[in-house]
Amino acid sequence: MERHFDEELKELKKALLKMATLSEAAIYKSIESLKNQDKKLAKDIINEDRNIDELELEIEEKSINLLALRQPMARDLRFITTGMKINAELERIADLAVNIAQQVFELADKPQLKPLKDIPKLAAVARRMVKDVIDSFVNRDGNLAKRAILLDPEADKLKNLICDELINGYIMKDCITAPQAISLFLIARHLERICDHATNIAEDVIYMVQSRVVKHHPEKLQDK
Amino acid sequence: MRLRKIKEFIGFGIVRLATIIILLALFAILYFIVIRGIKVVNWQFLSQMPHSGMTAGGILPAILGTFYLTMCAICFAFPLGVAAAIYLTEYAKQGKLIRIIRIGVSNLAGVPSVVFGLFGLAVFVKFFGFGISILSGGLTLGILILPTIIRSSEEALLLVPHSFRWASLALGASKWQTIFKVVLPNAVSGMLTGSILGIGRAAGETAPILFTAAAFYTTKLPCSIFNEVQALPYHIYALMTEGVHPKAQVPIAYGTALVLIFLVLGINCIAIIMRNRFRRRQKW
Amino acid sequence: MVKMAINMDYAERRNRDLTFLKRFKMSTTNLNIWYGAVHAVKNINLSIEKNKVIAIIGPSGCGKSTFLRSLNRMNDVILKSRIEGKILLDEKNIYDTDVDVVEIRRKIGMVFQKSNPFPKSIFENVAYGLRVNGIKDKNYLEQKIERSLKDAALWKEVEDRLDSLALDLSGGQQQRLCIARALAVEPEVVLFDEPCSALDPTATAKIEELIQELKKKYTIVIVTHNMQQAARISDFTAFFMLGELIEFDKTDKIFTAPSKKTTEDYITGRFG
Repeated sequence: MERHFDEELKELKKALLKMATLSEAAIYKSIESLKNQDKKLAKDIINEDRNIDELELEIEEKSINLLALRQPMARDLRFITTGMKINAELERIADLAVNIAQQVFELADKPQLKPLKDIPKLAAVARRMVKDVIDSFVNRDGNLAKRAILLDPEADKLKNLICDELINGYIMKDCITAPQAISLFLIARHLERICDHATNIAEDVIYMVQSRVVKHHPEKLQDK
Repeated sequence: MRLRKIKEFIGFGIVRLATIIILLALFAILYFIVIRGIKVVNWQFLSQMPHSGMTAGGILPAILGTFYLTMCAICFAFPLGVAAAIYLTEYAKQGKLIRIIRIGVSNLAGVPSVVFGLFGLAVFVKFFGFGISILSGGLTLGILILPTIIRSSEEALLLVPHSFRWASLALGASKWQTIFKVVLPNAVSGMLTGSILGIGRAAGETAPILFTAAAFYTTKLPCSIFNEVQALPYHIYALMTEGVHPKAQVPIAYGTALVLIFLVLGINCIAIIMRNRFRRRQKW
Repeated sequence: MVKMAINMDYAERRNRDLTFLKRFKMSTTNLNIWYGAVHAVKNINLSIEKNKVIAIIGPSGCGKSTFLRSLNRMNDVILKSRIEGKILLDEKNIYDTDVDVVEIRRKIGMVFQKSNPFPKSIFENVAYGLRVNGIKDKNYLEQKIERSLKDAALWKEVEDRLDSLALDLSGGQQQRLCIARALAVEPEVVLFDEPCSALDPTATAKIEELIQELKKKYTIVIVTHNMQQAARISDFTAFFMLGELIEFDKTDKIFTAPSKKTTEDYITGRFG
């Protein structure tokens, strides 16, 4: 039976998808701007963040209204509460893209330290994770969410590799290039944080779909 | 459209006419009785013994006799009728047997009253040996009004909401306690109303007391329930059919009829007033 | 099959663990109820924990009221029905032949859908249950009535007019009076049959508060077709449909993550 409420839920889902698309685009652009030393693109990201913030508020209001007016239960309740959490995570992801863009500004006018190798790899993992968790949310696919979570250790490994290299190879050795190295260090850290937020989203999706709580209980991920 | 209006007008006209005819009949009866009876009715008429072979004096023994007979009838029929109604509505398993009993009770109400008189003669007067007496007549009248009492009592019991019974039972009351503490107190006014209507009927009946209680003419007031008595309806009958001085007797008969009719109307009025009060108090 | 598994699970847990059994005030085993040819309640196995509120929800005609009324044998009077299976109250089957029905109904009180105070005074309404149980002592009656009215959160509103007619109270007050009347006979379990369906939201809120307070002393089973109400006040929720127990679990579980699709569809209003 189609309910009026279903229309409202669809609208909420649409807004969340828009939020996800914008955040994903922000990550993509931040990585592109880094690769190409593109200050204009970096500027774009920073400007666009305002839209994302607006959308976050809009989704939050919609969700609270639905909770108050419809008193949803069971899967509707899980969808709305999960949506609210995902909303916040996506907004954080977009903020991290902005942070990366700010570092791109720092780096743009300076000579490149070395050809980028591991950072694009880490960026690819981050993008992959964000894309997968968004897909898992859209398609209510718990397994895809689970696979996304399992990518997180790889991101951690890459980030540690990059940071070790930057500290030992550049920051400790050369004061002149240290600012660039620190910028790259921060970018790696931001990318790794993006992966963490994607993991959170994946955990929320698993709760929404399977009503299992896997957050802080990695061992539960192995069931099913 | 017009045809419909005409049809409506004719339809309403017919029902209105029917009502008017009924009212006219009622007023005609009252009018004739009052016109012919009012001349003889005064305090002496109500409070004195008859004398000179019923051609003069009052009708006190007949008034008292009617009073005793109806009291006797009600004392007998009310408890019996209420008990039967309680059994039928509260205890008996509703089924074929109960339906047959109900039909039986209804039919009892349709039996001609003279048949009750014969029954009373055979059973109370002869078989139980009560003789022609207040007791025999009262019991006969009691049986006559029993169906009315059972019916009205059943209706009163069924009017008590089931939720009262449930509430009582759910509090750990037995069925007996429930009936006595909750159902009966709420039904008793309805039962009384029905019974008073029964009294009205009993007071006006002639045939049942014809063979069982009525005296043609007494100069003494009855002093026990084994005495025979005069009664208003039979007194009228006697005045109109027996005796040798019709000129003197007929006005007395109309006076007696007037007293009887107002007695019955009065009793019915009491019942109606009681019922209205009872309905107003009811809030469930 | 899945339902069987749950039933098996319950039966097993019951047999395995005696202390587990002690936690339960009432339980039903393979309970079936028929009205003539209609199989109204089908094979219900349900255990009711002490000092908890158990809500029974489900669409109209799902057998929830019939089930409730079987718990204090009110089915014997309200509608003639045939019953199979067991209902235990403290390990004693209340349908055994040596059981006194009147005593069972005293131990398991009931509050009905429509408030049904007797057309007597407030005092006499609450006193009724005590009087039929043979209590005559005036002092004791007065104490007990005050206590019951306080427990039913009605005392403050009526303490100065105990002699006035109960039918003059408002709907919500009448229902609380009925609760006080039920509490006066010191039941162990109180059954509520849609107690708020005729009340406005304020009166409903009061009764809901009251029910949550009452579970400290009593075990409570409530039938309601207001799901939010079940969610607000109960600890456990049973979902009935077509005479079957579809799901029985902690209320928070039922309303956030029910395990059956039928339950999910019902509580999210996707029914039919």
